[in-house]
Amino acid sequence: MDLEQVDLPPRIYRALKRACFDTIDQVLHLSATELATRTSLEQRDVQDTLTILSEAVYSCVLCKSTALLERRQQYDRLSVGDPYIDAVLRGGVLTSSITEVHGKSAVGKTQLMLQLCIMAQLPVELGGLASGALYIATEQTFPINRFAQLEQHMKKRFPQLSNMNMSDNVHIVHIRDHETQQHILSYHLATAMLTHNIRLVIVDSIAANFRGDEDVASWDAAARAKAIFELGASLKKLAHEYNAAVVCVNQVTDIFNDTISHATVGGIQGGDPYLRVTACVQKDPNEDAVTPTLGLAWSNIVNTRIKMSRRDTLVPESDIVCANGSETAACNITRTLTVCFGPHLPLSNCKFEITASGIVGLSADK
Amino acid sequence: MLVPPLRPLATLNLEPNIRSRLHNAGYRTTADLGNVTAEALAQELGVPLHQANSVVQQLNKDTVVSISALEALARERRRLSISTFSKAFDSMLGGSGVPTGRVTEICGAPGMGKTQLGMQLCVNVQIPISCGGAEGEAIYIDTEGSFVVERVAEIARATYRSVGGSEENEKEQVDEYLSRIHYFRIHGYLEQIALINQMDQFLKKHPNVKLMVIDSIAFHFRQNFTDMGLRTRLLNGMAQNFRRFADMSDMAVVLMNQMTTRITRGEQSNNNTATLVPALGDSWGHASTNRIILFWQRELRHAMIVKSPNLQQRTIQYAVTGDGIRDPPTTNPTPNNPRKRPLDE
Repeated sequence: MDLEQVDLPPRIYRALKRACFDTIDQVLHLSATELATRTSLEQRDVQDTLTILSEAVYSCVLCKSTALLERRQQYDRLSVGDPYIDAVLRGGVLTSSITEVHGKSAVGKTQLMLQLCIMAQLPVELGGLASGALYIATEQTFPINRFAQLEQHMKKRFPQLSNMNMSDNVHIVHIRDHETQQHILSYHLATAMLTHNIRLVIVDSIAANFRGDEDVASWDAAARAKAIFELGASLKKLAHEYNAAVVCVNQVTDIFNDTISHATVGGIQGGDPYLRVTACVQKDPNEDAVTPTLGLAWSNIVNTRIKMSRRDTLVPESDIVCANGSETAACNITRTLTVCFGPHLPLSNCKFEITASGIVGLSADK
Repeated sequence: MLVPPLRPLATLNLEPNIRSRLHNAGYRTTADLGNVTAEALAQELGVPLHQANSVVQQLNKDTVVSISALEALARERRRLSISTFSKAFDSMLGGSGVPTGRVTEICGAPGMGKTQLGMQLCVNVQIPISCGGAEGEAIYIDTEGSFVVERVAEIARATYRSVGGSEENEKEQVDEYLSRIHYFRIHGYLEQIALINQMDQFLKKHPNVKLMVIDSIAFHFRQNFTDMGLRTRLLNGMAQNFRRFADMSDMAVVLMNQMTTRITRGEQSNNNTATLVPALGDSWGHASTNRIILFWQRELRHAMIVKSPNLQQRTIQYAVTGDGIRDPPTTNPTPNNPRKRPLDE
């Protein structure tokens, strides 16, 4: 922000200009004493300058103590559309924050995203946000056929929605490289959200342009971490300003035992701290050890982390069927949705299956 | 009796014309001016009164005030602490919890419970003095957007019950708890600095603030910085401010910090080790008085105090429950080192 935009007393403004200050950040980077020497302003004037500029950057007067109570209503939930999964998430996906969903391919991540796109358009009393959705696809194209199928099922479930055209309210952007992604997220998204009343942003997936882009692949770890932090900051800002739910799909990577055994915390060797940081509880030995991509840097940005996993077990007596090629008939697929961490969620999980009408949770005893 | 230090007038922050006028009038050091009044000085030098005032103000400011160690000890003993509701955690911090008048840094990877701890403290700082609390208000500076009011309400309800609150006006009391937490959401490092700059005024208006939580200090300082020198300078400036707040208003300042991976080359070149270390680099380690690292070990949450002038290094276990921070259910207490005893006995 330029100094011209702030209502400074002319005398102070001239003194700052004389000392070659043009923007607010230049002034706020200095301590009061340093500013006094650079501008030869009096102590009192320096304090005034800092106060006026600080208020211009962050208005602290607005935050009254009652604001917190009002905020309580502001936290909306976007229901997933299934009572069991909603129970695990305590009502659904939280707005004003970043939720990550990670898991191996074919585990149902995109299915969940499509369902959220539909749920977001539902009126508030049905668990929706009564808003549009923005779908940023960085991997595959938006599966519009499946979306139409889910839409039909949802309309059957809630007949009052039958004259709503749901695909009109889902805005889809395909991004194929990191530079475009950064550009769209930092400049275009805010305008789009405002004009189309969007309160759900889905990035499917956050990792693709970090892992696939040749340009990014040549960066060193520090530059990559910096880019991840910038991306996270712009998403967080959007989430808060528009009270929107930001859901990021993340890929996973296998954990090699080597790196874990070397991980230490604060100089203390032992345990598996690094594993527990990023991955969820690995109580089930049959489950593969995987961890979300983009490392600790991205993990620091995520507010709520959800893991989706599946386990395929062959049904013993149907071995022959399997050999004939119809594998689906021979496999029992168990899918699980697990909460890894979240400021408002206990660690818990829920089994689910994917049907024609979408994701359906199963009660705990099944 | 304090002797005013002898300081050359040229070292004061004066406008050039005043400086030359003082020089021409024969004044060289602060002692020469003695106990001159602003009016007399203005008359003698022929300058406006407000300019003379600024000279006198600077003279008076220079008298150094010190307190004796005995006074400091008495002050230390009067200090209140904020309980975390985990006995092990409190005892690690010297018996009764997070000390006021100090800067405490809590580092941990995501999902360790930093935010939970912050929210718990924001509620617990309000426990009445009669129940062993600090009966103060709290400031929560949220840079990451993890503060969920519903969760705070849940913790507040549990706290209210555990201090023996009656059931009928529980809802009003929980709202009361929430209304005494001042919440700020920050979206950039510049906003963070701007807010800290205004904090003095805010604290003047809310003198009963006894806790400030910044969750997290690191987030906005880990992006957009190409000039690492600038980053260090800004962070140090902020650390100074935190220490000042802690000391002046006798409040506890709790800084949450993220963790980062540091790769160190092992003896053999192919044997690199990854270490989790607090973010923001080595120089930031000086910012806090007490530093605690949270980590997982054998499926249990552990906290370890790694830096403190008066507490012994030790590791404890804690748990995050629906009610907030508590001791883990199966208590097998970590044995204390018998050779050491706490310094504040």
